Amino acid sequence: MHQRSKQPLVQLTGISKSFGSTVAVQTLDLAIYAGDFLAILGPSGCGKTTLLNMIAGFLRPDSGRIEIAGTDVTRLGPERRPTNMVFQSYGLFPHMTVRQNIAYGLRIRRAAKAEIERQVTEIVDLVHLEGLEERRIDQLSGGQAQRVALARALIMHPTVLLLDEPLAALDLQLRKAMQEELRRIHQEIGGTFVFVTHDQGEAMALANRIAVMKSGRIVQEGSAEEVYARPSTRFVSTFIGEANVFPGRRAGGEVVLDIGPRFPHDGPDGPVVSVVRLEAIRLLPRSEERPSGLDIALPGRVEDAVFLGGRVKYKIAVGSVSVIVEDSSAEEDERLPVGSEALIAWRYDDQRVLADE
Amino acid sequence: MIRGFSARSWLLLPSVAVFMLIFAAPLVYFFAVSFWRKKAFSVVPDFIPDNYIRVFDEYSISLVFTFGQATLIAAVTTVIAFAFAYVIRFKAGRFGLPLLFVALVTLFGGYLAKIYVWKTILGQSGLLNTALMSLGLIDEPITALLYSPVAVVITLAHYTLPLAVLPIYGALRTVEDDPLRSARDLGASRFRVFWDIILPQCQIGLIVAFALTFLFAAGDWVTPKLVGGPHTSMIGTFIEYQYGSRVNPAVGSAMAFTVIAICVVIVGCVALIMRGALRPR
Repeated sequence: MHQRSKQPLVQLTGISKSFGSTVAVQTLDLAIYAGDFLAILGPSGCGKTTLLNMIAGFLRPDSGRIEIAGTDVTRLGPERRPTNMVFQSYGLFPHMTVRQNIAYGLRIRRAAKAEIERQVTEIVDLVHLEGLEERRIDQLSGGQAQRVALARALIMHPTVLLLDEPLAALDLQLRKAMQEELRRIHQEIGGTFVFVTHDQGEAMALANRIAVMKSGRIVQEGSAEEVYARPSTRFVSTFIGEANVFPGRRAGGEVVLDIGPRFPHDGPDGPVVSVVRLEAIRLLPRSEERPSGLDIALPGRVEDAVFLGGRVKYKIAVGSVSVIVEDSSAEEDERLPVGSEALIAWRYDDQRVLADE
Repeated sequence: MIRGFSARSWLLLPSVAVFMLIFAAPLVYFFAVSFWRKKAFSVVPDFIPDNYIRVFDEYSISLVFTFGQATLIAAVTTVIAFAFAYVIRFKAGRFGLPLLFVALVTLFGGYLAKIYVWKTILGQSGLLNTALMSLGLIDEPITALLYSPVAVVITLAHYTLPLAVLPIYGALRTVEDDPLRSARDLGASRFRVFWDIILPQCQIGLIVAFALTFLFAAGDWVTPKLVGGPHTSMIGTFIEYQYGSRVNPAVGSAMAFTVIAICVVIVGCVALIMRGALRPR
């Protein structure tokens, strides 16, 4: 993991970008540290690709500064930045072989022939493309094309590797495999990777840090665990992982949720939501006593139960509200049947009370 | 597999028959005629090389001049057509297709119309001379404008331009943006992107454009006759004489096939040179 005391490797200061009257990226700051695997995560149209393109140099920000490794690169084009990009559509050169594609950047740098040869062999080894060097691009599968794009960028030893929705074009199986590959490669070469995705699962699986974007702003940024466990807004809480969102009001240091519970919670008066992760809610048969340590308990009825392998996803009706609960502890004979009365309970520590947006 | 293939071949038969009848058959016939012997006011079947020997004896200067002209016209047209197609594909944005449409519409104007347009512009009392004289840039009309090899180049380049734009634009359309962006990202200058990524991908379009204009220019005999003047002895004109007033289709055929052969060789060479120059390394 990175150390916060170090200087950031990439520092964006006061960056913004508009296209005509549309603001794609609102004024924002972002620091990326050496060794980071940062995911810029957000729904489509949130400005994440625009942000990546500004780091790469394909777009010039309307305002602000971009520094990479201590050098101001704001006005430099992509060909003069120490970054390399893996495009969503790969952007491979269709008239060249795999080897020619991978070697292109080094050839532009006028590296010696033997040196190019050595490095291509090394990188082909790293991304497991052995034996495909002389293939034409149209003879590659999606996964192989992805590896070529990765190899072509990695051979440049970029200070920062940028990936634009790198796995979006692959089917599920391949995506899982490539996620593992990317993680392995990141560990093996120890570089700094920044990738853009709309898939929170992918962000969690790959990144050690996540920056969540919405409407051109970074709404939260932190380690994957942090963002998952302590979302700072309602949007983040539901965009990353699944959660139950209970609306309520806060007045005079006390929160009253619409489904019943009231508890002390400091903060300004106004509408709030309590966000509780599916797995943070305990599900108990109605007959049992409320176990100690659980602060909130509500009676309900099992509406639906879906077996998902290692866990069961329940839909519990509490009054007119449906609460989703994931239970991974229950043995087969302990599962609650549909229609049975139940009790749901959670601790104060497991809920996040956030101002409603 | 075999059955499916043969069924499909049968369906092709009518078009193959038409092709043979109106395209291949005349060619074969005139190829045979090119070895015949002239007798009085007609030709009789024979198998002699004399006609070809005459072509090289009498017309080698004209052949050299013709292919020089044709190469120049094809080169100029291909370059202009590429620039035009490049602008349509990369620079013109939503004006691209209207531009292409405008280029193609000029084809409907017809061949002779374009020739007379250039006669009007380049003639002794034509648009250009009148304009230059009234601006006081020249005292008397430049007579060398019209009835010169230059006029032939201009006229034919103008006429064949839309034909050359089409294949190049077709090839440029398949060039995607992301490879160009990634080449920049890998450190390539704008020129390197152009040379390494764009040009090789529209090679076929360039060769087709060159071949189209070249073949048209090498075989044309109307334009040199109308705007070429006495010193513009394009081979097409002489071939026409052989079939017409000279009543010697045997020599005419021999000339025609010589032209076809040289065309194939030149276009082939150009294609090879281009491939060599643009080969990825």
